[in-house]
Parts: sequence; structure tokens; C-alpha cells
Amino acid sequence: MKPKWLVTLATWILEHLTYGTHKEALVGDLLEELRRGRSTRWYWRQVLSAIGVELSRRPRDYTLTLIFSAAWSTLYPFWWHLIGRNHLPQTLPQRWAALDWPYSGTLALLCGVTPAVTFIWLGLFVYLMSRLGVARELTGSQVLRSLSVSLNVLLVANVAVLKFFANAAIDIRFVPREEFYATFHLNSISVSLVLSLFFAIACALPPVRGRRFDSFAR
Amino acid sequence: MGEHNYLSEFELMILLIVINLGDDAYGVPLTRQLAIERGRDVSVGSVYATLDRLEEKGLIASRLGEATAERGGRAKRYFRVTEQGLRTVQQTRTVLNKLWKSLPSAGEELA
Repeated sequence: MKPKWLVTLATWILEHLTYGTHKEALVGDLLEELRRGRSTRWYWRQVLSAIGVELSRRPRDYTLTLIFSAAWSTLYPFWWHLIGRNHLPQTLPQRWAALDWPYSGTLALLCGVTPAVTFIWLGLFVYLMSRLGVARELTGSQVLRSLSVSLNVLLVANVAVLKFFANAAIDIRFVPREEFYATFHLNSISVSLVLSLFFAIACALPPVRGRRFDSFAR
Repeated sequence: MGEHNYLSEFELMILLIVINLGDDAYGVPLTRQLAIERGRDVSVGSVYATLDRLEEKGLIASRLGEATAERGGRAKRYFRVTEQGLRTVQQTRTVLNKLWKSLPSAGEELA
């Protein structure tokens, strides 16, 4: 008996991390082989291999995206000073903290995450504007999906950062809000911001391949 | 010197198998045949990456086939070799044959 959820999960990952012309056929072939007796382990190996092949095929595209994401993340301190000082008065979090739970926690979280999220979304739009030729073909749902991916990646990365600091010498409670994203960094590049922006761009602008439907007529 | 599409061993094998399979050349039989010929399991993803590259070069063409429940509703994609693809395979064979001729037989000294 093959655990169905493992197959569903692998298929979902494959469909969301590959962009090739033959993505549908690839997934179909793997499912066909699975139904004909291949193991779930074989299926997962094939899925991971396909993702690896996909990522290695477009190194230039991803390198450019990664460089832009890293460079953009270094601007975050300026953004914090711009938005944090002007639009998020320092007394506001203290006022929210006085509210009952869960409002206090939720609002404090929103206050901490909002500057980072808006910064990433701004970065995404700057990148899209710089590649207007490709970005013009984007649909509203693709942009929404991309924004959603950036948010999810940021939240997961934040949880990872908090977990990392749980065993570190730094007490996260005493890290100022404006320095949170700069604390877990490599030469002033915030890892969580870079990951979030990178995945948002990669999700919005998959490689240009994949637009042919039928070339038999050639 | 004329312009050639040089084929890797993997590309050449895929092209030859696509020719051999004829109308049934889609991912599953193609990968299975390739695994038999190579004597080991093949990554379906790398086969599709190669097919994609060959299609970009104009050496093969593809069309969507039928979707079945067995495939989770996903359509098959059938491949066939184009005129240019066939020409390239023949050119590769000519070049390889020429090179094979210079292979010394066992026991013979290398030049």
C-alpha cells in the first residue's frame, strides 16, 4: 500500500518547482509508472532529480535573481528608517502590547513583519519593472501567487531564525525590531529577506520556456 | 566547414529510441527503453530536459496526446524526429563511423 499523501506532496512539489514545456507530461509519466508498480521511494527520487535538473538548467536566470535579491536586502535598513520612523510610530507597539491577547501578539507581529513584507514586495515590483518585456505577460493571479509565496517563505524563514537563536548566545527578546532582519545576516545580507524575494521573483517569472504547445506541425 | 548540431551520447540515444518507437514515442516507453539500453535506471527529468533541448534545436517535434486516469488526468506528449533531426543523426553516424575506423584492433600498437 502506497501512502497517498506522500505521492500527493511529491506531485505538488514537482508541479510548483518545475516550469518546463513538458511538465504535465513528466508528472503524468511518473504517475503512470507509479500505478504500474514503482515504489513511492522511486517516485520521490525521480521528483527530486527532476527538480535538480530543472534548477541546474537555468543557472544564469537564478544567479541574476539571487544577486538582485541579495543586493536589494542590503537596502533594508534604509527602508526601515523610511517606513519605520515615519509610518510606524515607536509608541504604537507599546500601546498594542497593552491590549488583550491575541490582539497584542498579532499586532506586534504585524508591526514587525509589515516593513519587511512591503520591502520585499517593492523589490519584486522593481525587478518586474526592470524586465517589463517578460513581466507584461504576467497575470494577476500569478502576481498574487508570487506575493503569497514571498510572505510564506518570509514567515518560514523567520521561524527558522527564531529557532536558530533559541540555542544561540543572542537573546532574541533584546534584539531591536529594526535589527531583527539584520541579525541573521552574512555581510549585511539578510538571509530571510533574500530567500523571500528570490522565491517571489522565481515564482513570478519562470524561465521563458514552456510556451510551446504543439510543434508537430513544423 | 558546415554548421552542425553536435549530439551528446545521451541525445543520440534518445533520438534513436524516438525513431525506433515510432508512433508510441512518449515518456514512459522512451525512458524504459533507455534504461534497458544503458543497463541502469534513468532520471525521467533528465530525459525530458534533453527532449526539451532537442526540441529547441528543432531536431524533434512533439504533440499532446490523450489524458488517462492512470496518469492522474495528465496528457501524454508524443515525440517524433524531424527531417533536420534525421539528418543530424545520419551526420553523427558518418562522423562516428569515420572515427571508429581509426580504432586499432586489440593487440595492435597505438599510433
